[in-house]
Amino acid sequence: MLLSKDEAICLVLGLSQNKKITTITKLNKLLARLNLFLIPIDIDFRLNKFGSFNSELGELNTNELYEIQRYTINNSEHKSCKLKENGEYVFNKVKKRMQEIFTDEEFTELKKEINFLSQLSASDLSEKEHEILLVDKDERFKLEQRLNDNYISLMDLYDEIDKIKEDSIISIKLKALIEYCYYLMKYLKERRFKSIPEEYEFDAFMFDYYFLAILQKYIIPFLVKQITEKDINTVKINRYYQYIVNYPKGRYPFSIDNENLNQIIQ
Amino acid sequence: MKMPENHYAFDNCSIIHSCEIIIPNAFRPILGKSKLSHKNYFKLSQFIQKLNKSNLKKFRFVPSNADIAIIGFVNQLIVETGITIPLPSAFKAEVNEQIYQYTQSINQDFIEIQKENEIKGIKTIFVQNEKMLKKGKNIPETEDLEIIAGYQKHICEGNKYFISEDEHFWGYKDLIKNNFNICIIEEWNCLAFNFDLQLT
Repeated sequence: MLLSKDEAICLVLGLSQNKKITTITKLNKLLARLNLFLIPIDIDFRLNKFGSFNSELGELNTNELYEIQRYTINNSEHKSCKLKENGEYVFNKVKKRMQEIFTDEEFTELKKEINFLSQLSASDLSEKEHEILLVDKDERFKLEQRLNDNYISLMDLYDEIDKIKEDSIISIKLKALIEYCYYLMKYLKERRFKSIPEEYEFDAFMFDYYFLAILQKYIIPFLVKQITEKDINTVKINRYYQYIVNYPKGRYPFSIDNENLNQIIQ
Repeated sequence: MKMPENHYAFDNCSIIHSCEIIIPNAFRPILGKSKLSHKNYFKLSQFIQKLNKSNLKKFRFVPSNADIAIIGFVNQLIVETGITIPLPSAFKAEVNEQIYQYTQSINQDFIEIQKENEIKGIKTIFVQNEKMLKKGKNIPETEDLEIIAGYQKHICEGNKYFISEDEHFWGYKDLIKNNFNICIIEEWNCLAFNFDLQLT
């Protein structure tokens, strides 16, 4: 499942208060936030001083799904975005598709979070995102700690990989997920963040930071639990695999779609 | 006068063998190619096309353990490459997924025949006529016997054909024909099968 730009916008607007977002900067932040719920969307983000940013979102125009309204505050022009009736239809379709990978509880959590965040100011949203992703230069030690913690945990998991029997397609997918996460983390630790830049990383590709946060918060704890449990959680394995392995295809260097991947993992 | 219709049933493995796998970019330089397939892929896909063109019905047997068949096939393909593949589990997972999606899409073109659990009588015939097979286990496995029993029960006015690569079937070709009226077509011989002759 990969949500198109418009589907992702409808999802965010549908979950927001009054089905409206007051600025494009906020819309940017909320769309980026979908990544932290492991929802693949067809929008790439880079780092600017407010966090995740995609310049094309600034050029959104009214269409059949949402309306862009222009307004001025303190001599500066802003744009808000409101869901239209056709957009609600798309929102409901997306919601239905998401039921394949989200439990009702998880979707409620997403709804609560996006609704809450939609009521914050852009700067509050930015601050929260900075805290989660550890992009600030003052938090380099935390970032380094995250890199080390993730790497060690995945090394341990990778050592256990042969204990998983290849007796079903999903058990092989679980092995693949562990293997892939281990090598992804190795790439992040030994290449991408080999020397962590002292300065703020303007224009950095946000996948690096999303992966680090997602691995720590969701995937590693899940894999640790899953490797010792008899019952395989098919829905979660598929969801994590989709985000970590399928989503980066064609949009990130560490991808099985990259013909130079073998050189990266060596 | 309308000719009795022949039925063409496929072993699940043969359906899987008719899939061509697109190798993800990362593995192409290592494997030196962009596609991977079973040695009988071309013949099988042509044979299926021929059946489709002639509007002949295709059958498969259920229930089937698709996972096991796919895993076995993928492992065999990897061994045949003779190459140590980096990210081996990810490679397997990707290939598994492609084959799984392929079988999901193609299965609807095949009419289901239920396997039959009652195989005692059939097994006795094989035991009494045991042959030395290359694959080791001389007597067809339970699942193979369930296929034969299911196909035997299946109503068909014309000839019943069964396409398989499994020696448990082609190794007992004559016995199966004589006792159960099922004609075995070896996968690798499927294109040599004289369609027109069978149709007239």
